[in-house]
Amino acid sequence: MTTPAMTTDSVIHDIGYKPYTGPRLGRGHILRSLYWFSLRSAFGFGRGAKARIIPLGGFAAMLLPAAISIYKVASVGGDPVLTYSHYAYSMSLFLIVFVAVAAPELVSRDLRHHTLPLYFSRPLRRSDYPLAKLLALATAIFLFEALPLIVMYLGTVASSTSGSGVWGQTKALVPGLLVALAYGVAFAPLTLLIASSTGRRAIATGAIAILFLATTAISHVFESVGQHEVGPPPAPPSSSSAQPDQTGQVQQSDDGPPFRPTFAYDSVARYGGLVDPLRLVEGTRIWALHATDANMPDPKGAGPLYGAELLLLTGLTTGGLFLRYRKVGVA
Amino acid sequence: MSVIETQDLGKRYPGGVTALTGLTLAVEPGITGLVGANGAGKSTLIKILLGLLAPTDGTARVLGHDTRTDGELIRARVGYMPEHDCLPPDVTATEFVTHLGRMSGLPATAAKEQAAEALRHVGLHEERYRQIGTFSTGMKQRVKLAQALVGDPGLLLLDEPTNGLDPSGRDAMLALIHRIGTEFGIAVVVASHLLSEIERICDQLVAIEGGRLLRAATLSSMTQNVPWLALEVEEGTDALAAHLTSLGLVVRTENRALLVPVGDDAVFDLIRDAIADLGLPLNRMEHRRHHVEELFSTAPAPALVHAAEPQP
Repeated sequence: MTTPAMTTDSVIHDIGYKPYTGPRLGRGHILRSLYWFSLRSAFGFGRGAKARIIPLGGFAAMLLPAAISIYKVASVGGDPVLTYSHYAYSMSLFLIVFVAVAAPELVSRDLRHHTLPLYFSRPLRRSDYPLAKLLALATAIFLFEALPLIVMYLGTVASSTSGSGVWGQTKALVPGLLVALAYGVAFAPLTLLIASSTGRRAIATGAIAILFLATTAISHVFESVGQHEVGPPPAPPSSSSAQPDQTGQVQQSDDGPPFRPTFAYDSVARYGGLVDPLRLVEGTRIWALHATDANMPDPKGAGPLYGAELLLLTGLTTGGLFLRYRKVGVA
Repeated sequence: MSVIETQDLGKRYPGGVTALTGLTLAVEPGITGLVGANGAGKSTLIKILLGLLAPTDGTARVLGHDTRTDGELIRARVGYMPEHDCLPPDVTATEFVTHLGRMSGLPATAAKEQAAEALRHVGLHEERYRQIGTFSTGMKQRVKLAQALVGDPGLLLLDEPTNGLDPSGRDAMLALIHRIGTEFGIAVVVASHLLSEIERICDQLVAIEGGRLLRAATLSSMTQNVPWLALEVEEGTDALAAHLTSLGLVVRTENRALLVPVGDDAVFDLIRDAIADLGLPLNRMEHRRHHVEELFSTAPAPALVHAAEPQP
């Protein structure tokens, strides 16, 4: 290096300047530590206790059904309160709150306080910053969704007496984990892109929450419009076997609660979920995993459309996020 | 070896705005003032030197690396202090500087140690566990300097480091920069639009105007270190001027004061005796270093020593 050597004298003053002679790590390490830092801050770690209230409170709420489930299975027996694959969708309100707080925490703060020039004047490249943030939030969402499932799995397995029970639980867990992963991969770029458009955290949080709540409301309207009741609810004892009618549009109810009436949905309801990011994931799950335990109108033929839109949305928002950080000003 | 070398450096933004043209300069180790009015191209030059902006013409080398190809290597060894506020209020100084130390490539424990060191060097050792939001403007500027200093850079690029500081804060900041440049042995480039302020601490000055190099030279070669003595007497200014001129000294008037170049120590005796002989009430007699400001405002003159007039 061209740092001029300190040749003035060789006297060591007690606390003078000591040049750093230790290792200097490369871009990969820096990227990794920014990822780790961002993952921690998604859950509010690294700053005051106040920052942890919402993420950890939300996480505690996510664990609640798992805890109840473990207790119920252990003491009463039977099935868990929520199935693994329904877990995320049923508890989606907490996910919305979590991402609405976490995404602005990861990107809006640095915009608000103009900290980005300090990052970009370091060895990181332009795209490294959004990459680290994206991976961190995707991981955070995955952990937020998957850890309660794993807790529930372990708790249920611990009280299980038969090997087939363990196998059944494991088989049921996998789709739940896939859903958790899909939420992470799809929602991280979407919410980060929204959050990175403003330095004001409150506005970013509001925008993300409104996006999810409004689209959910719209898709529910579509569901109501396109919903037609077909006959009285089947008698509870016979409901455990699916009875698809001749149109093939009956909500199959072999896993559903026994008291649910049977509905048929027309195309408005089946396509209506496309406007809702949550139903996009849920619809894709039903289509891709051939699931019959839908929490929404079964997309049926529209299934591939759900999958395609999910991919497209993820791709576009990811691209948009990287584009956003290519344009951000430095110095 | 030069810390920064540029050759015919030019930057033209799309849309036809020319920020830099034909800039050729070499910055030696030590403290260098980069002077120019707002919009002269200082920020563009800094961005190019950090490898964040590709020049449209010419080349620039920082610490021996080409800015076009080795931006990461340069940024790993260059500390940058931006002009604008860049600090989050709700983290402690230690946490913030440690995090940025890691972003510079320091391992976790080394980043902690180096952050503590950097904060100690800028005089925030006691306050390092306080949230930055509770800091005064002067302390915030020090945190900004500490984040640039963390990890022992080979070169510091400081953009308007005295911005927003009161006079005593400015003096403290300049003294700190001077210490970093001399005791710590780190090459420092200080960008400022206030020449009179940074000339006190600089070994070298680079002046740019309208994206062109106005002048680059070591400070001593510009001012030749000729000290001037400012004299102010209660009355009889003209008589004193006449008397001193008759003694063969060059005397210039500046408002109420007389300015006399001090060639050697005998001049002090001459002046003292002259005032005593005339029996004038002396109000003020002070050393005034030649200000370099006017050296930049006039076209580069070869014989600066005699041509330049001190005008505060």
